[in-house]
Amino acid sequence: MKVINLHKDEKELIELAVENNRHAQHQIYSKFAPKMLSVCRQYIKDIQQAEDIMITAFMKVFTNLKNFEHKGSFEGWIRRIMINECISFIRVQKKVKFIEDETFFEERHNDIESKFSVEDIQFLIDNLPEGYRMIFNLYAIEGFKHHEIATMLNISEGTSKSQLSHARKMLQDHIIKLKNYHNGTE
Amino acid sequence: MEPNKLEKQFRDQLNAREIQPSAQAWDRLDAMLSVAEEKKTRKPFGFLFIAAGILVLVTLGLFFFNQNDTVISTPNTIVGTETKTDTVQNPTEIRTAPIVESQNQNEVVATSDVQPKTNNNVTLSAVEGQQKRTNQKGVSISNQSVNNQNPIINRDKPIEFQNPSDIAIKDLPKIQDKKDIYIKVDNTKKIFTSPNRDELLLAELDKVSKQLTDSKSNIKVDAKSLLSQVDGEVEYSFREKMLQKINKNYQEVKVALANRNNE
Repeated sequence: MKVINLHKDEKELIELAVENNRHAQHQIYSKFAPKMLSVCRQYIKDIQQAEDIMITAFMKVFTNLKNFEHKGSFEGWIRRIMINECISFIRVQKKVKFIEDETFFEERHNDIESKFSVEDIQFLIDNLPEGYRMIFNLYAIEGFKHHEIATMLNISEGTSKSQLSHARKMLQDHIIKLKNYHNGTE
Repeated sequence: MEPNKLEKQFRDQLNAREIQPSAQAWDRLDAMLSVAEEKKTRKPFGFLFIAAGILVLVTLGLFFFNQNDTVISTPNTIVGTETKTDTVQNPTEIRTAPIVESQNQNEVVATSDVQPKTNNNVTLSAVEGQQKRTNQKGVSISNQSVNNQNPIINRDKPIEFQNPSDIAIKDLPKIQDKKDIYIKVDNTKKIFTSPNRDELLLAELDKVSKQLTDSKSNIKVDAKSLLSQVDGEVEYSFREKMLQKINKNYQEVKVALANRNNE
């Protein structure tokens, strides 16, 4: 009942938060923080750093809340801010540079049918290099198109595609290794 | 290039995941938000604060500028008077030195020859007399008079050296000197017939020099007292003005506050 009420009053809550009502701000934070920390954790290995970025992103959410036009979903808007914050952090702090290459790997269609736990998935993603991880997350998890990723990261569409193909190949290699580990063959 | 089944599984599972942030996370965000709020609320007043600060600085600057001006102006006037006394003092000092020299020359002459001695003495004493006159005449006449006198004294020098060797050549400058003497005699109105002319003239010179030194010391005392007097006056008037201003402003502020409170 309470959750439904909160959802119903989302607009009202946002309006209150715009006026720096700390209670409303805290309600918004409590509602979205766990999900958003999960999003940040996808991009950033270190949980402490991920939390720091989530906090700064929430700061941006509250300072720019008056610009939210209630057109799309509020969660999607916050999520986008989180992702942008993560990307800028990685690009500035980790100094990730994308080398313009357009080499692709053959698509392998041997779909792995096994189920993975969230921890395993996070482990697999964590083991990708920063650049690969970023593009894999943006394309496979967030569902951005290659041209969107290209503009977001200020790279060419071809680079985005080739990076994704590199990431996928590496991920599949890692999955096989993980599977072998789980099966006890390695 | 489409997302495969595995990636779908990844997406679903990751989107369903929730990681509880630490308890301090909200506190930190709260602190950041309150800091941002403070900044925002301060902004409209910020301009007022800046304007007030500038005003205070400008008034302080003007205050100190004016204070400095008054302080500087008072010594300037005193310095002016002091320089005047200096001009008076310097020539006397300069003059006394050559006079002594001329006296020495006279003595030298006295040992060498009798006849020219009197003449030379006359000329020198005349010159001294003239010097005295110039000294007495004006305080403002300083370097020019000294410069004028120096050549006369210098002119005596060659005459003295010529005294023992050549009498014929010596006579010519003597006549010139005598001419000078006559002119000076007219000016000074002195009787040269008396035998103790030199002593009289020397005595007079001493008197004049004493008078000059006396006057000099008097001026010095005056300058000091003047300085202290003027300083005191200026300080007093300035202090009074400032106190009045402060009192006035205080009263204004008081009235303004009272009015505001009444409203």
